[in-house]
Amino acid sequence: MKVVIIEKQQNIELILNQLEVKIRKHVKQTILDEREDLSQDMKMKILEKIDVLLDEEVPGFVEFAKEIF
Amino acid sequence: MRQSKSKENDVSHCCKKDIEKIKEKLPALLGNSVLKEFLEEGQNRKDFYEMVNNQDELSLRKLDKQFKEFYRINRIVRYISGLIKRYPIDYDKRVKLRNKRYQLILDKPVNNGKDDSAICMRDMISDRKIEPDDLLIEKEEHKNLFFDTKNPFLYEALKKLGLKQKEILYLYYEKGFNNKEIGERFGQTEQNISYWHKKTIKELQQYMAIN
Repeated sequence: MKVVIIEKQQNIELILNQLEVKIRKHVKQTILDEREDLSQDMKMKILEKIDVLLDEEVPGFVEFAKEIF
Repeated sequence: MRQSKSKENDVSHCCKKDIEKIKEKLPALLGNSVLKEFLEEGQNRKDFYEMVNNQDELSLRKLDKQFKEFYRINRIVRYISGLIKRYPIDYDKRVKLRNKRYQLILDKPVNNGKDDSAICMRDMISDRKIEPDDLLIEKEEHKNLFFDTKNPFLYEALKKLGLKQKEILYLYYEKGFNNKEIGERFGQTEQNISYWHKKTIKELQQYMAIN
């Protein structure tokens, strides 16, 4: 159980690291005052989403290829 | 035993069919952005071509496992990337709506920034927070003299009034509270304050008449 949680945390970190630059870039769309709020708001939402998505079943290579056909 | 062997045959047959199909549709597959990213990894690329060229089932199984791991993360990164793009737009809309609805954010400009006027909401709100008590405390030092008057007769007359009478006059004439508000301060009715008010004025007139 513990191993699963640690693995999940590692995965979440991996994903967040990949997205960090993107978040910083897109946060600039809003005015300066709101940027901090927005980035916190967004990160919370992202964490919620990742949590759900990581538990979902992932298709294998063949299944994925079949979807493209 | 025989059954499991036939099952294995089935699986292998199925795999062969899959590989053939993948071979057939190779251009379409290679055009897919997810697979492109997946095959950038050297080992995956090697396994993929081995599988296609030699119809190698072992490679297919390896590929399947590798892909699952890769896609588990990649899928989420792709989804969240989209979310990051959309989110600031939604957020801005929400903030605008909130600002429009809750006008009581005191520092914001009255006209929602539509022109250059710098008046904030705060300037528009009348200050009702001052209670009669605050003003009386302020005046505590001059307890015996609530009014500055140059008229010596009035000054003498005022000195003779009781504290409560002076307070009523001060709040009514100097600060503009009405009888009801003054009544709340003393815990008395509006009518009672009105009575005391009139009585005080009469007394003042009498004192001044004598002098």
